Amino acid sequence: MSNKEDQKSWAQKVEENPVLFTEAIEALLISRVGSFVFINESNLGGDLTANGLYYDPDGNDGLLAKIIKVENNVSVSPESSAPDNSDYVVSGHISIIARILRFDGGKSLAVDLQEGYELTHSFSLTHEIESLEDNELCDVDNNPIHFLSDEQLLAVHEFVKNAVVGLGKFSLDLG
Amino acid sequence: MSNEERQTSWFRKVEEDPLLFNEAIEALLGSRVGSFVFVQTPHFHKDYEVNGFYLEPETEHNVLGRIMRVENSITVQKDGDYFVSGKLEVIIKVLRFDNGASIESNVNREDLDSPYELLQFIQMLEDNELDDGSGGQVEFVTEDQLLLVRKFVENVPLGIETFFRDMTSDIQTQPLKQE
Repeated sequence: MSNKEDQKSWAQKVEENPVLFTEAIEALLISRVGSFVFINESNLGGDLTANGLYYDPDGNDGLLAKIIKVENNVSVSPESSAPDNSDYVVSGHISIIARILRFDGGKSLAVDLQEGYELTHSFSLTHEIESLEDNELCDVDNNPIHFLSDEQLLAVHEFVKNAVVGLGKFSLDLG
Repeated sequence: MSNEERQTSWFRKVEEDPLLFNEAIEALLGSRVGSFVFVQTPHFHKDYEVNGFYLEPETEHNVLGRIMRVENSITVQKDGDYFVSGKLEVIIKVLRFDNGASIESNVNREDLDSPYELLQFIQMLEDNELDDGSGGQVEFVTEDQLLLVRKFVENVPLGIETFFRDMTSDIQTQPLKQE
């Protein structure tokens, strides 16, 4: 289905029941709360040191974070005054807030991955919904945000388990 | 003291006692065993993973290692001129806290064949400036940096608990605003 068709499909649903649209987004956003993501550290400024943060072992400078909150202020309404009578007015923003997990006992850092991603037309909303459905987010600087696979999550668990033992050896080596 | 003066001074000592030279190098190398260093990560190529290694906070590209041993097979002979031959090796172990297999690596392997090269190497050791043999810098860890590492180690047990709790706990979501 092309973007244009997709837009129309959403538009028809909105026409039938405008609340449906907002509810669908809401459900989709909520289902992502609690998900783990690797986010690009360039978003975070110079506040973080490498030690104590879990990095994506495959590179990409991704840091482990957990989505702790989503905020949806999007509203969709038919625009009867639009020339072709098929446009919908989309306004508001979506915020996805994640907390970076650290194991050095330091203060955790919550970051707004999208910093109130502004939606002003139906295409950008459709695009955003598709991204969420495909677990493919981008931050405000267009850096990809990777959702962790089950295997990656297992690797993190394994790391935590091993670190407890490994730290004892590390301390011994430090003398 | 210029390099030339230093060279003459060393050579005079060698002339008095050829063994002295080797002993001096041995002592200098020996004194570095147990020292902590930051080594550039490219040195480890594919073996390197970020998690579980202590990275130098300044650069995030150097990992913490400790000099385990030094090997010196340098000989200095005098036959009119002085001849230097042999090699010096500094072997470090990269410290990791993920319980993985430790990595031992030869960070400095110098094949020396002239008094000048030997003198340069001695100068580097005296100044705590090593080279990993591929152009990478090996930095000796300062007292302050070592304190940071110890602090990190102290904090991790509690931090791991928090980390694990954050991973496994349910997150309370705030009700979303309804339009």
